[in-house]
Amino acid sequence: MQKTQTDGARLPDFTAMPLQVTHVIKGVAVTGADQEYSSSAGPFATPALDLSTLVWPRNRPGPAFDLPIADILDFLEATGKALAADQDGLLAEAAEQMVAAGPYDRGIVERSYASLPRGFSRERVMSLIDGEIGDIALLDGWVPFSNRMGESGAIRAFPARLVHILAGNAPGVAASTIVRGAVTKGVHLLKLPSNDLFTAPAILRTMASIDADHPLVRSFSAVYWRGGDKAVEGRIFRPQYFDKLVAWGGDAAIRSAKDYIGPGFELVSFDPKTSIAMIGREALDSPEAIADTAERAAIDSTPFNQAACVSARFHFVEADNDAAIDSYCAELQRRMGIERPNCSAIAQPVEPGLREEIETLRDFSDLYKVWGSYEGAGLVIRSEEPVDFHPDGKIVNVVRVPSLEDALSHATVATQTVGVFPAERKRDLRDRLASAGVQRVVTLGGAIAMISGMSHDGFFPLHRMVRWVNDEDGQL
Amino acid sequence: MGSAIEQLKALRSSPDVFDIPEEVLRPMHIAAANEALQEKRQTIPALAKRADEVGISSITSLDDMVPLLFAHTNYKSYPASFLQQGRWKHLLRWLSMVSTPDYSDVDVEGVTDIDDFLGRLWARGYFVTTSSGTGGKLSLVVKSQSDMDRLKDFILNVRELESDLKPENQFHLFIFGPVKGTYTATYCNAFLVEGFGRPDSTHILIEEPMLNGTIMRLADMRRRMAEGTATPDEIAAAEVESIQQAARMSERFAEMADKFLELRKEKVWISAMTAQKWDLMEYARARGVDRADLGAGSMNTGGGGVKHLKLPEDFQEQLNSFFGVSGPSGYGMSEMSWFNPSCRAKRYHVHPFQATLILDEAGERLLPREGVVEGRFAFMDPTTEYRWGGLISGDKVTVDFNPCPCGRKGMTVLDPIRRYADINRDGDKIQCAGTIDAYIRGGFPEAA
Repeated sequence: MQKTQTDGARLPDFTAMPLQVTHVIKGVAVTGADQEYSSSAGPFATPALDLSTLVWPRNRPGPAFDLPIADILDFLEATGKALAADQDGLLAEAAEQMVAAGPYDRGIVERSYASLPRGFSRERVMSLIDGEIGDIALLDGWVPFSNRMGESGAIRAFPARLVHILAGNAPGVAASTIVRGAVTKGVHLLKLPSNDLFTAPAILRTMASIDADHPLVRSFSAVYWRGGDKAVEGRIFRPQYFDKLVAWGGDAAIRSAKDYIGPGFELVSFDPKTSIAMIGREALDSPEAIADTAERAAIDSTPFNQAACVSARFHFVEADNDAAIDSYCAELQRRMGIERPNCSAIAQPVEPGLREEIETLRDFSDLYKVWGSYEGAGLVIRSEEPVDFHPDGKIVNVVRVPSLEDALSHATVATQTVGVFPAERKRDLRDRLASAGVQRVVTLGGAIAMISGMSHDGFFPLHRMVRWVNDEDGQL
Repeated sequence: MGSAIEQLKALRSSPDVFDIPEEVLRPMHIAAANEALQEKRQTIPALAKRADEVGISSITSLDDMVPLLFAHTNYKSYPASFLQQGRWKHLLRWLSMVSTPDYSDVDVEGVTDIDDFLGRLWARGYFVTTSSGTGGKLSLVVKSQSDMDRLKDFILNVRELESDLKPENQFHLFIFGPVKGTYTATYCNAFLVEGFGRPDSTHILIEEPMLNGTIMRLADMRRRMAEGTATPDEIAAAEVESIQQAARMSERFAEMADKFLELRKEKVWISAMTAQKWDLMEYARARGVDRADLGAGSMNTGGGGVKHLKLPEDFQEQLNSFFGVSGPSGYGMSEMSWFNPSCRAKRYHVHPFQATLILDEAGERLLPREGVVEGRFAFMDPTTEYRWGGLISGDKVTVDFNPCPCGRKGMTVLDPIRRYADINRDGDKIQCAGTIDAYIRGGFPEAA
């Protein structure tokens, strides 16, 4: 870095000190700064990797393979309580490191950490199992099976050996991976992303603080290596060690993993997604309705300052007159600047190139109208067709459409969530949205409130995080 | 006394335009930049807006220039739909916002595509040059006749910093690329032909004009693939077309390579991208020619474009040892009035018409101008006629404010030059959010 002139004594530059990442190997915390990395957020250091410790030998069952779900529910509940109490300050320390690494401010980090324990509650975990697996007995053992033709046997949702490539744009990803991993009982290697190096190790260490020798504790590791590093992935991404690669974020995460996918080593992908909103004219037919719709839309457009896949970026709005849609845009922009559980009042400022592009749109006032400024409080652009850049960092493009039917062409295989309002309009749209590739149609305002036990990205994750193994009695 | 801008332009007649000390240049740059601001804020709305916003009404220092610089994406800040849907009047209006002309004399009635549109502009003396740049969206940089003449003067008379080469149509000229079209590299090739190519021995890989429409069609294909409206047959047809194009190209390439092998021991000039140079070397090696043994005074220019090629690490050494000479190289971008040529010490000398500004990474603050400094390359060039000459690049450079080992004064840019976008790319920052781009396979560029 270029040094600037200073007068007098110079303090050491603490910002240049790499953040230290703690690895957790089967419940044991490993510290050390043997390996330095850089990321867009700055430098960080990790302990050296010992590849042999990252696998669980296949000739022995995993530590939790035969642990009853009842015990798992107890342990997860205890984990939730321990996370809430945070007696050893593990979560607090991780939160500090998250804040230091950015991009989120202290408010978002603390509020999202405070909500982590919720995911471990008995009711929530049971809801997951009910919805995704159905019969709890399938996880605990062999369940008799028979079909209409009298063929019979038994089936078990058998624990699997999984590598998880985590996404780092929301701490909930680490928590939900650990919960899903626990109830499916397998062994789990968590590969940390450079944008969240701290949440998963903190949760695993909290679990170890309850019972260092607990089978679940010994079933998880969380480490960092540079994604795509052949020296690591080439050696451990093998069917002899792992059954499946569970990857978030698609492209960047799986580009190199694709080289390893083959017989015996399967890809479970939470694809990279984008989300939209569809708003009917009745949602804007009075000032009160506009305020309510805008509030719901603001909630849906700002999760993790719009870094989450559920965040709506384009709103397709039916409007007959400028007054209604403009008033919606103004209300929306104002409400995007409100601090919320998963959103800062002020996010990152808009980068200069995009800023000039938006300035240009302001100049074409016959085609575009812009509300808000570039400081990161939220910006809304109204147009007759979608803008050609990817709205991000609390930017929404409100696109006027004659009818919501006309917006269907903008739903694609990359569209995850469509927030619809009023809710009654979902019924007419959901089949066609699903046909276009959409995975989730929600009542506007409910994008972030993912319902436990329903599908995610078009599949039931628990269902794919196990191996369905048969014991068959069939005869010729 | 002429105007400050004219005085700056008059430096062209200095004995060595790259040997003028910063102390002499600085006041001239400031005065000329201020003059440009006063004139152009009347005619470039984007500049007027910026100046009002940052509250700078006159330029009295280099620091004053910084908040007034445009981002390097400024010349592609138009909505892509203007191009995709042929809204030419809107595109003209956009041009008038980022440059001084009002383009009222350009008739866009019946324009069929982007190349037709650009043709109408060129016919009126608005040399709108294009570059695909980053992200695949065309940047549209308008130049005047005088801007073009000055660039031609640079290519013909100045670029060869260390020789007194005159444009006398004396070379067997091999241009491994197009010479007709609006791309900067393309019309610079045309300048080479005009100045250095022997009329009886000028060889051009691509005789057809380099059309922007081809790229637009690929981009359109990509858009339809994203929407899911492209059929498998259409995708296949597009792929076949590009394979056929490549086959035609390799046929023509072989013809030219044979000609090159025949003439290489005479005075030749090769202008090619690194990829073509590599192919040419392989072609020669396959025919038992291990060294080019170029004739005395031969030139070898062009480079770059290696990013997505699978070349061995020592590719440059291999090329150097094969060709024996590496001709003038330079560092520049299409927004510049001149480029920054390299000297015998292999450093790039910044040309005197622009105040070269080294900024912090954010592009907000001028770094101290002494010793060796690393930062973001930016410049303020008051001599460009139709545009505001202030631009922040995407490049991270190291510059030396000390005299160059070649003996010239003034600042030099050192290799390597890298893009911040490449340096900061963080493949390990994993997000659950993404776009349709991840779902499109094949060589279909992003929206143009």
